[in-house]
Amino acid sequence: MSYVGIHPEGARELVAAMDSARNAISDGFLADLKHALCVAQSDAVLEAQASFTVYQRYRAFLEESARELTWRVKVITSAPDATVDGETVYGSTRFESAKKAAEQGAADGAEFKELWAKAERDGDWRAVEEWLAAHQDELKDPEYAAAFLRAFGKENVVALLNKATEAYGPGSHLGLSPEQLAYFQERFQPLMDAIAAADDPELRAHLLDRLGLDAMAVLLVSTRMPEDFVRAAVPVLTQTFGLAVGVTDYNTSLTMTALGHHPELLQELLADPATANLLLDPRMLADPEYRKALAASLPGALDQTTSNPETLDRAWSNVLRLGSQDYFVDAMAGDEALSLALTTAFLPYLENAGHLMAASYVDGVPGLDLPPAREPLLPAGVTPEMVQDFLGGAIVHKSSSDALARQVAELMAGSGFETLLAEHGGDYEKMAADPALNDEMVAALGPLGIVMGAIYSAQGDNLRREDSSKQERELYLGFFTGLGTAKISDAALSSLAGVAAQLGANKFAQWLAGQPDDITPEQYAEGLRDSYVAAFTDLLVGQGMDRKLAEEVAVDFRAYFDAMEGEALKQQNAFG
Amino acid sequence: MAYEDSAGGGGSAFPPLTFNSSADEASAKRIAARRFDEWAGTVASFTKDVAAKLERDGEPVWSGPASEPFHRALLGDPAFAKKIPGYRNPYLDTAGNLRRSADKLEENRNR
Repeated sequence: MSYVGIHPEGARELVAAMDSARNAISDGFLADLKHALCVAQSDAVLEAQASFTVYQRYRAFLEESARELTWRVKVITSAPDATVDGETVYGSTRFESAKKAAEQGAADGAEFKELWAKAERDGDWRAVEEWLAAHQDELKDPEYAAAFLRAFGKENVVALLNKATEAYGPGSHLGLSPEQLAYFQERFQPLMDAIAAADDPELRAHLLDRLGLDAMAVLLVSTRMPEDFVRAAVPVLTQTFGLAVGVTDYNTSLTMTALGHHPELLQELLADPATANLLLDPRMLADPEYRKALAASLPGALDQTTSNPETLDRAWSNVLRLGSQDYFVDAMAGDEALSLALTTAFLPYLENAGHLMAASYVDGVPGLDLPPAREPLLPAGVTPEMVQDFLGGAIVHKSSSDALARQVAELMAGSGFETLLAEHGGDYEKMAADPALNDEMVAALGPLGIVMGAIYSAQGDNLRREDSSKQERELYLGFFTGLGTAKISDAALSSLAGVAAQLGANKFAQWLAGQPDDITPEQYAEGLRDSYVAAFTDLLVGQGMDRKLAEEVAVDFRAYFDAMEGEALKQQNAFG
Repeated sequence: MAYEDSAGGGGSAFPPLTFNSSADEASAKRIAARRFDEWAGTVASFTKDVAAKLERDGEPVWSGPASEPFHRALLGDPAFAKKIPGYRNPYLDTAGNLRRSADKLEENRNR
């Protein structure tokens, strides 16, 4: 055991400086110096003559120190018992130095090679498995692992993994089931850890060339191999996607799970239409194990914060293109976890989808221009209908509808619509001419329109979806063009945030999900209407109107609301 | 690690070259002199950047018993970080010697 304190970032910079100095003392420099000293002979003072040897020693020192420090950074930063003080990590290393670790690894690799040869001869692998279990900690050490695997031999590494996956799997290159995988990992995880820890390009090239499909899938799902290695393995692993008939091909779900360890790589694959089609193929989505893997892996690849925006945009373009198709919608309708994963990943786009919805409301109406859309923007070519279809598969699950309702409520509550209304003091012409108010209205109403459309899409009721869209359009335009109805329209919209707050996102979600024991569409419509009326009355009173007069105006509003919105909601019998 | 320098010079360990003429030898010495001049200006950078990265915010980036030979080899007395920048003057002296030798070779040739 060797105690050490490392500032990982500082140590990496030090290693980079050592590498740079080592490169400066190049073979060319040393050859030139030697030649100059041969020319100089006694003209060279003693220190100059000695410098050649010093440079050679310094270069060796830099090489070994960089290796040592790199090893320590890796070992210490991944040590489970390491402690952190500020930016410095403290811990101890099992081996005294990188060199000692490599020496021990080489000796143990030779011993293990003999064990493996005996296991092959006798057909009894217990000694091999026991040896791996006894050395699991050492095998995670990069220097030890690299030397161990070199001594064991790359051919033996491949042979062992291929034979072990054949022995513990179903054969026929169909991969290991979750139970078989767990059993396999109990025995061979230390060897796979060693492969992941060893930075050995020759071994990795050999694995890519010779490792069987089952063994490769198991290796990738059990370790964090470098992204380049996984990228090189993908074409081999995906070549059987969709080919299994009547049986489960576990390699596909293992591959998708492994890709989840590399979200940016998965994002790249989704950004390519050909691989996106392959990864989201109808035959693949029919497999529950694969859907489970997708649900775990897609969120990272589709996250707004993890990647190149252009690649993310292309990935989402393909996901929504395929996600709005019937087979995908059906798959989501049948899989709550996948639905929630994709819905949650989509939420940042809901405001922009609402903006597209509002853009369709004002399309062709003179004098109305929408404010600029807010980021993140949906990929070009994505329509509100595509989004509604995509969400339509998810919204049948309570968890997804809850997430959508919460987002709608947050967008409504955060819209600031009421504040702006108050600022204009009831001057509707000023309101209609206020771009900020327009902006907030889009933020308030558009996302709701998307979610309402998704509900109708889930019911397969496109006629109802069009009606709903038309009503919201009228409500929207009513504010900006409305003469007598303008007062009602703006109040209706101003109360949206209040409605969301009063009913609460949870009840809204329950209604969306159509939970019969919780709240019926009729109850929801009634509550929504009452809330609108109350909010409208309060708004008028708050602006200085006599309460009695305000209530009279509110009666008109109730009638208007019944006609515009309540009636449509009342007709949602299918939700009960 | 044991990297402490023990080389102390003492007679050229570098085999002499054979030249076709004293003019060639003089020319080679002048070229070598220019190289030593160049190296005199660059050798300090070989250790300077490494020494500058040993600490971060006043704290060593690598501490503990195993780091002691590393720090000693780099910063001890004499050690690389002190010895190598010190080659500046010996290189300039060597360049001067080479030019004087080249001058002599040319003088002898012109007699």
